Amino acid sequence: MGMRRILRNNGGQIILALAIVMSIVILSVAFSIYQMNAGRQLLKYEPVKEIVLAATSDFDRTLTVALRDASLEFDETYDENNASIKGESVLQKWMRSAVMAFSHLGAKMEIMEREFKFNWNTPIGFSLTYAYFSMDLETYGFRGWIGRSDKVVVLRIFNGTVRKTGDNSVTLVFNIVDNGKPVPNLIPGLLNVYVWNRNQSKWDSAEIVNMKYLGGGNYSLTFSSIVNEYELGLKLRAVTPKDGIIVSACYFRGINLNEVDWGTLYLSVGEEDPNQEYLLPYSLVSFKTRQATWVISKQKHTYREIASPPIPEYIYIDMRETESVNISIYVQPSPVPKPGKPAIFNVTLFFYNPSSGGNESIIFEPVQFKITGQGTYTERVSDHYRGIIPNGSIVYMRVTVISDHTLHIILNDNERLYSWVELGKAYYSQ
Amino acid sequence: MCVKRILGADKGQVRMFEAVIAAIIIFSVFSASIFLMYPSRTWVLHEKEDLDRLGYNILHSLIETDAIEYVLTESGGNAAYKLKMLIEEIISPSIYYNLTIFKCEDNGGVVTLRSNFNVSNISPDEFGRLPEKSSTMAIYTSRSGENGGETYYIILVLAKGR
Repeated sequence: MGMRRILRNNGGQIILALAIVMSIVILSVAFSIYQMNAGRQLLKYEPVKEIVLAATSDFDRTLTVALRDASLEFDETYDENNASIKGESVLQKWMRSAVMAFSHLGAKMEIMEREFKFNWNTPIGFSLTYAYFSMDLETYGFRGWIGRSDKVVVLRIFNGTVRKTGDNSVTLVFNIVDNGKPVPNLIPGLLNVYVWNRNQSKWDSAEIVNMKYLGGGNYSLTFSSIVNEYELGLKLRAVTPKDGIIVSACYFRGINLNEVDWGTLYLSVGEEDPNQEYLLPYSLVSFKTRQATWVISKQKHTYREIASPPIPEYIYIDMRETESVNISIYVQPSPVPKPGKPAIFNVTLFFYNPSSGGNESIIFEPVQFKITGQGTYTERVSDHYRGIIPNGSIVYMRVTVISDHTLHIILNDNERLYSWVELGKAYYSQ
Repeated sequence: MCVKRILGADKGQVRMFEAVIAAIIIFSVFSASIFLMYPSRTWVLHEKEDLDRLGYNILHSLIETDAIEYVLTESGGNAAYKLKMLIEEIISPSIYYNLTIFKCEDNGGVVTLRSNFNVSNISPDEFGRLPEKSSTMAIYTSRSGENGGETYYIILVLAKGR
């Protein structure tokens, strides 16, 4: 009876029902948010990122110290192996310290790969190291981090800027960068200049007259030294102001040191006279000139010759130590040879020693090349001249076309060398 | 008795009564929701987390700005004082800190820690009594000076004043 009356009052009941439905919805949403909050609190803040990145950052600093010590060792001994051992010991010490420091976090660390490299004998000299290291933090369940750090300091002498500016002075522009960033605060006290003393075969220290920062890591340098205009060997040795890393670069013009390998001569354009083609060691080749190509045919230029500069007096080539002489020539025949009818040309190698006043000495009898298309062709000659090419000699190569083809023989372009002859090993004749 | 009165009441009174009940339900539900959405202990959780973050930020700043390098290579007795000044410029005065730098000494493959120096803005006893503390650490390899190549272990403990 009473129920019926309540049911009849259905307007108010709807308000109640709506309130209950709204309550259910609001409570569901609120409870979901509560659960999300609780879940978020369970994801406790763990400073993994901070620790790993701080360790990586410190490894960068350690690598810097390792390269500094290694470069110091290399500067004293010129032994890359010794230098690597020195650098390695710094890395290992850091590794032990880091593992101990983070031992409460279950740290496991390992240096996976590392290398120390020094190239100080070319106009672009560098001191370089890189290393990978792995890191696990067991307490945080963090595993598998592999970090890589690099450190490289590059010192570059701009070849084209080396000028003799007076009787006793030379100017040049060089550039020094540390991990790709210019080094702006190099002072004369952190730079050594050495000039090659040819008579005594040693590096003499030269006095810095002026050094000016040009921006972008570039410096203009003037130093005093009695140098021959056509023969100059100079070495720059710089110590980076911030980290004390040593780097060195060398520049050679017209003189020949141990580093210049006269045992392999390239058909190329020389740096001194870009219009002249020479047989030159790699380090004396100029890549910034032009492509050099010979065209030989029976109609015009049956043969072409190329000569080396006089081989320096204190160097000789001893072919007895080699098993063969290799000649590599890049040829484009025209027209393309028909099958069974290759294009043929001969190569003859001989030398002439002006000081002895003798005749030309044939190093070996003409070598015949048979080619079927464009490409590099190499011939090995075992039955060659068994003796010494005395110092002061000029080495000649003659290429003579035999077949009726026109041959384009490419010597070099401004990027690479295409044709060369490997005579043997070159030595000082001290 | 009461129910009888309600049931016996006219329609207007019943509606009023139902509306009041609906309002009470809605009010209760909102109160419960607000309680669920804002847990009462959140600030405690956040405080430790904030101190941890602050600690790592301070260490990062001291290391990457070369302040630590400067302090370690500084000759004379001013190193601790300068480090203290640097830290107090970064943190708020209501935060207490204790920074200790240990030198990692490598004795033939075994590394031991030797306390190099310590700076703080509170006495050790009082610092020990503070309830909520955060401890952060970093390693630092010195690059220059006579300490070049030495590795240091730095611990920074932070606490909020009561």
